[in-house]
Amino acid sequence: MMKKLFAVLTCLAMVLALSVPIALAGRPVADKTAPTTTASPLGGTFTSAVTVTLAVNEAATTYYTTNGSTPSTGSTVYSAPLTFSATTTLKYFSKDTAGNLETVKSQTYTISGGTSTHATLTWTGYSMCSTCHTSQAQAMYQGVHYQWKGSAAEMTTGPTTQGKMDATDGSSALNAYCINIQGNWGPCGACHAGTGAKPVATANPSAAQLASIDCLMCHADATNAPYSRVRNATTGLFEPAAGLNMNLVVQKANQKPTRKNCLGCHAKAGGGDAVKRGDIALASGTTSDVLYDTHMAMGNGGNIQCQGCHTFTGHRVSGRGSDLRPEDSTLEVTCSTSACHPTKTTATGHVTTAVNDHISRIACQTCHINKYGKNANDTAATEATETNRNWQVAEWNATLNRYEPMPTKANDLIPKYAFWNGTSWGNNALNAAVLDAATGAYKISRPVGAITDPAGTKLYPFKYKTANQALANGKVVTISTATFFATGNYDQAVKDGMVYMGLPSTTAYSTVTTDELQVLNHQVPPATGNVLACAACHPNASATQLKLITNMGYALKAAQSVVCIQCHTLKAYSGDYVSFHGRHVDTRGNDCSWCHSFSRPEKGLKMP
Amino acid sequence: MFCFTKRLLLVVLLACVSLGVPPKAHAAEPGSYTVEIADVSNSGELAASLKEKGYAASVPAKNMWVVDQQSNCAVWIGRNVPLDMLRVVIPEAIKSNPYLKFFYVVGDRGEKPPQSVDNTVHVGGSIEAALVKKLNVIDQKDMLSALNKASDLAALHQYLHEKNKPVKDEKDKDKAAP
Repeated sequence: MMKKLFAVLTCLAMVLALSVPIALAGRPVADKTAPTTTASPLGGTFTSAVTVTLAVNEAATTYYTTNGSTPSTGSTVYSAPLTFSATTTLKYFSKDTAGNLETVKSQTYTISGGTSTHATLTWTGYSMCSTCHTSQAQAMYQGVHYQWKGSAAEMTTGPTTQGKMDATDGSSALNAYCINIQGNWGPCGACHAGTGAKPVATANPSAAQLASIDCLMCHADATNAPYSRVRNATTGLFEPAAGLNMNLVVQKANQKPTRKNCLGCHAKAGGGDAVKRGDIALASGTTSDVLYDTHMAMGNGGNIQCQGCHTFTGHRVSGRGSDLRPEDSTLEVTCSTSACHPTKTTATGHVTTAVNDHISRIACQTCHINKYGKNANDTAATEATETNRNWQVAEWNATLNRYEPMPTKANDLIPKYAFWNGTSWGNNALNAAVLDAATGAYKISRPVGAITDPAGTKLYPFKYKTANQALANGKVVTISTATFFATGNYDQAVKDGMVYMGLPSTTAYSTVTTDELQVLNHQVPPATGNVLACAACHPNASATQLKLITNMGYALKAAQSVVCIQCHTLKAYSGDYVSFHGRHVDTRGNDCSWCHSFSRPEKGLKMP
Repeated sequence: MFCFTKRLLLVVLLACVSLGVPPKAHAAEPGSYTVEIADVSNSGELAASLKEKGYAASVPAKNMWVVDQQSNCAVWIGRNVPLDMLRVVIPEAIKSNPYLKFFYVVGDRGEKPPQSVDNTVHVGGSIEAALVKKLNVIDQKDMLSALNKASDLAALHQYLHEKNKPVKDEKDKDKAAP
């Protein structure tokens, strides 16, 4: 009996032993081997520009950087040989289709015999830049400056990629200026960092596509060899203006952008100097008025170039306006760099304890930008910024031979304030419109954040901008700017816009107010005599700049008869804000949540 | 004697009116029409020259689309501006800005500008607008010749209408990069 049982078990064991390898053989063997990428030639010293090829031993995507930073899967994808004309450190790795990651490799290509070959260049056309600076052109091509579209990782609304291009997939931003660019790429594209054609989104741009980047818009020497461009009357594409010594322009174009380069577009956003941003104007590039902007002013100012704060990494720039959909870089702009204000965001960085108490929740800009839309004292322009755009009223622009909506402009405006955690809410083309009961207007853009947020969210100053726009079928109408410009006929422009949105032109519409908030970062005056004093915000009744209790959520969480008796009998408020707050917070160490509807756990105070 | 003096004064006054004003400007009713000149390069000199000839000319404040002679190379012609006035203004404008290459009668495509635009010649319109409208380049010699040959204002307008007809399969400004 036992022998039979043993024999059966032995047979079973043999069958199992034989079947397992068969079963395993039927399943694919998991690929756990990282790909291997080889650079050719390897790093070394070269007497002239070197072209480097990256080859990988299996199907994989190769990522690289050329600025010394460690590449990630968010870095530039290798697609074509890279040419280095200056000493460059190339870092790269590949990821295969199974997801295996190669360890990052690094090669340094040292170009001897001078770092600048520009001095002997002869202008042959826009393609000459990307021929030598291929990797830079490829990086630029993917950037927001070129694509006008990019990662919407900081947006709480809409698809993962958003921007300004006129798409009907929900990715096209609206604003309270030109609304969106549908039908108007030409003039809008005048500020595009390309030669005029619409950019094509592709991970592997061709040489011809790279040649459509106009590197000179940012890299020309605006002082010693100014570059200007003009549309070709036949092709509509940009070309150097007649009469320029383009050899000199390109020979001098081996420099980083200056404020003049950047402001040539950024100051004119929205259709004119200072129109859109409220804290940027052409004056930001020329003024010596430190009260206008102590960071950028020349003379006694800092004369800081834009990239002094907006760090560029692989042609991607840090910093994003709260109303902008795409972010070009995940790096953030900060005031407290080692070179600028290293201690100002620490708990002891300011002179007084009271100010230091604000640091964790109040952005630097809130106290240091007391007003916006300022008028520089040494320019002819007013630098007034647009506060409203009325599409119902048309005015004639003689230069453009067209109608434009009526703007309202103003100087020296007091900011609006809001808590901001760095992400934004935006209404894009074809989105359902959302009415903001607080402002009575339909929201175009909002910073996201609340007084109850965890540490990291801070109070920021914003420009407030409204517009009179059409609303149909619950959506803000992407008005046909082309129709409006040609006819000044608001009704027809709205109808054409509705057709673009897929609505019958007979759809009933109304005209509503829309609004948006735009974070303010520039026009910081010297702190002395200009930074907001305590009385700007405290106490609420007499606050001149910001009423915290009335507008910002700092009211008591319940009636005094409820709040006070948590600890003691009901007492009359003395009216001395400093003494009152000091007694409860500084002396007794009570957390805010005893009396308010928010907490500040980072202060380590006593919780209820 | 008194009557003679009055008559003499009247004759002198009429003579001044009929002889003192440039004949072409007189025919163009200079008080009714204006020339606007974009503030580029020597626009002030052009304005002064036209004023000397009896026309109301001004250089409006710059806007962001006023760049330079090459980018501000269009002439927007108000539909009511008389031929005689155009025969003076446009040659002077061409002398002042050799890059002028677009000449367009405002309203030719059905636009309805403000009434004042119909009575204005705007020298230095933006090339951006010319390209949006898909206007065609008109050679300056051809333009000057057409000015001289036109039998009347309607004939000049018809010439410009024909010259500015969109070319088939022409450039598409919205086309993507290659």
